[in-house]
Amino acid sequence: MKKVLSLLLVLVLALSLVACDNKSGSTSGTTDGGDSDVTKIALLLPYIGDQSYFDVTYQGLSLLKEKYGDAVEVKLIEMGTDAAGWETANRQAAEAGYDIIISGNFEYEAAMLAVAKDYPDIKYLNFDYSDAEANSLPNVYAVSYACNELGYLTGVVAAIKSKSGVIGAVGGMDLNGIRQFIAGYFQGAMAVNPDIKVLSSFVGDFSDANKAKEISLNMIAQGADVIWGVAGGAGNGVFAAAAENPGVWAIGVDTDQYVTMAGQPELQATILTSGMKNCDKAILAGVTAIMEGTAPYGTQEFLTYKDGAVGLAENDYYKANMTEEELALVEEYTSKILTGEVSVVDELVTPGVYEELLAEVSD
Amino acid sequence: MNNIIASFFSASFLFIVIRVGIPLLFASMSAYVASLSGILNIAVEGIMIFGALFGVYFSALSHSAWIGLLGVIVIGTVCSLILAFFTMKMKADAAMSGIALNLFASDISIWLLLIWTGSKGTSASLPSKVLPTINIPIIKDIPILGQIISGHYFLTYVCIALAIFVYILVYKTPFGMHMKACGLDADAALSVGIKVNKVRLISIILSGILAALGGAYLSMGYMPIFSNNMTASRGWIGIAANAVGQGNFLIVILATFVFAIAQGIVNNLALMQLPSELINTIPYLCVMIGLIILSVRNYQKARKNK
Repeated sequence: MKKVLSLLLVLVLALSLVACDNKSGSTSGTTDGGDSDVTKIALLLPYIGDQSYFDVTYQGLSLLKEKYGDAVEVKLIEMGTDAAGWETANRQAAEAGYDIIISGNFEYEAAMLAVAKDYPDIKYLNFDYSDAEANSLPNVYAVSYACNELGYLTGVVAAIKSKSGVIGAVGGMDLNGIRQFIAGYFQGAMAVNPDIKVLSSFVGDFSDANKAKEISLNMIAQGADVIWGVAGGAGNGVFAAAAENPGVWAIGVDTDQYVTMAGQPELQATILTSGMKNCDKAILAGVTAIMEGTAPYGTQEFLTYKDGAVGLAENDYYKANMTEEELALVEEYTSKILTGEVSVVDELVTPGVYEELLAEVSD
Repeated sequence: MNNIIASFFSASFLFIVIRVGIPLLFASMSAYVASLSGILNIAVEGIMIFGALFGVYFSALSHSAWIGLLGVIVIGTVCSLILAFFTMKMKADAAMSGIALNLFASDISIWLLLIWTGSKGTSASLPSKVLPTINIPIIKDIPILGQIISGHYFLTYVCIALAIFVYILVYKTPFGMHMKACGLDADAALSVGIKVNKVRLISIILSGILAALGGAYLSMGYMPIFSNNMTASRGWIGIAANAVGQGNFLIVILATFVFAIAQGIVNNLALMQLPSELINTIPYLCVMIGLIILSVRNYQKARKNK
C-alpha cells in the first residue's frame, strides 16, 4: 500500500515536470513531408494568453487562415518560458517540415536564428526583430515596429486628457525595448504641453500586478491623472489603481485592452485607449510577401504608423470619452507623424534619449 | 524629489506598508506555524497561488465574495492535507513534497485558468467578486491613527486577528507548548504523551489556510483579478522572514515588516531617477542583512556556551 502511495507522489512530481515539458513544443503529427501544394506555417511563441502582445501575434495565424484558406496549414507551437528549451523547439519545428517558420522578438530571436542558419530551404519571418546584424541571413525576413511612434501617440492622448499636467508611465522591465515606448511617450506629451511632468518607473518584471498597482498609486499621489501601463500582465495593476481613483485614466498597450477586460467592468472603465502594436497584420503582410516571392530576405523592415503597424485603439468608449476638440487635437498631432513633420526619437537608434527626455519631463 | 523623501514620514506611507506587508505576513505566519511544530512548509508560494486562483473562481461561480473566501479556506486545507499525507503518512522528504506542490501549482494554475477563462494570462474575463474595504467607525475619524489603520481590505483585519490568534495559541495555550515540543524533539514529545501527528496535522492545516488567505488577499481585494504567477515570490519572502525569526513570533512579524518597509521604499524611490535594477535589490538586501545579523548572533551565542 505504502509503495503504491509513494509511487503516487512520484507521479505528482512527474506530472508537474510533464506540465513544464508540454510547453516546450510538441510538433508530433506534422512530420510528413512538405511536397504538397499546401504551405505549412508554424508560429513559435513562448506562450499565449497574456491578453496582449503574444495574443495579438497569434491572431496573425487566423488572418492567414482567413486569407489563404486550405492553401495553408498553420500551427502554433508554444515553447515555454524556459530559455533552455527555445532552440530545441526551433530545431524540432525545422525538422518537422514546415515551409515558413515565424518567430522572433528580442528575447526569442537568438534561438530562431541559431537554427535558421542550418536550414537554408526554410523561410523565416522574424515578426519583431531587435538585432539587425544577426537577422541578415539569406532566408530570414525581419520586421519591426515603430514603438517609439506608438509611444508618441499615447503620449499625445495622455497630455491632452490630463487636467493636472502630470502623467505617468509604468514599464515592465527596464529594457531598451520598453524605454523606446516611453521615450516616444515623453516626446508626444511634450509636443502637446511643453510644461508637462511625466513620472516614469519600472515594475522589474511583467507579472507582479500588485507592485504595478503600488507604483501607479504612488504616481496618482504625486498628481498623475493619466497613466500608461507598458508592462504586459503587470499592467493590469495600473487599471486597478485607476479604478480606485475616480478621474484617473489608464492607457493599455499592445492590444485593445478595453476588449480583453470585458469581465471586469470597473477595470474596463478606466481604459481610455490602448497603444496597439499590430503584430497580426505584420504577420499577414510578411507571410504574403514570402509566398509571393517578394520578401526582401536578409534585410529588415521597420513598420511604422504610416504602414498601419502601430496605432491607437479608437473604440466607441474612447470616442465617447473624448470631446470633439480633444479628438481634433489628437488628429492634429498624430497627423504630423504621417506628414513627416515630426520624427519621433528612437531609443534603439540613439541610446540615451530616454534619459535625456526623462530629465526634461521630470521638473 | 523632496516630496518623495517627505512621503516616507507620512501616515500614508505607514498605510502603504501595511497594504504591502499583509500578504507577506500571511506567508510568514504560514511558514511559522508549520516550522514551529517541526514540519517544513516550503509550499507557501504554491498554496498562495491556489488561494488566489480559487478565490477568484469560486467567487465568480457563486457571485459571492464570501463563498469565494470559503472556497479559499477549503483549498488551503486540501493543499495542506496533501502535504501532510506525503510528509507525515508517507514519510516523504518535506522539501521534495513542497517543491512538488510549488511546481504543480504554478503550472496547473495556468492550465485551470485556460480552461475557465480561455486565457493563460489573467482572469479578467471572469466576473469575480472582491471582498469589501473596511472603514472602522470612530477610529477612522481619529486624525493620524485613522489614516493608518482604517480603510484597509477586509483580509487585512482578518490577518491581524489571525496574528493575535497565533500569538495566543503559541504562547498562552498548552497546545502551543505541544507545538514547540513537537518541533524541538518529536520523540521526547511522544514519550510524555503528546500526540505528535495530531499536533502537526492541525499546525499544517492552519499553515495551509494562512497561505491560501495570503493568496486571496492578492486577487480578491488588492487586485480584483488573478493573473499568472501574481504571487511574485511573496511566499518565499515569508519563508525567509520566518527563518530570521527562529521560532520567535514577534521577531517573525518584525522581520516581515522590515521587508514590507523596504518594499514600500522601493515603490516610492522608483519614481526618482535612480537605476531601477539597483533599487529593486533593496528588499533582498534586507533579507541578507537579516540573515547576517542572525548568524552573527548565533555565532556569539555558540561561543559563550563553549
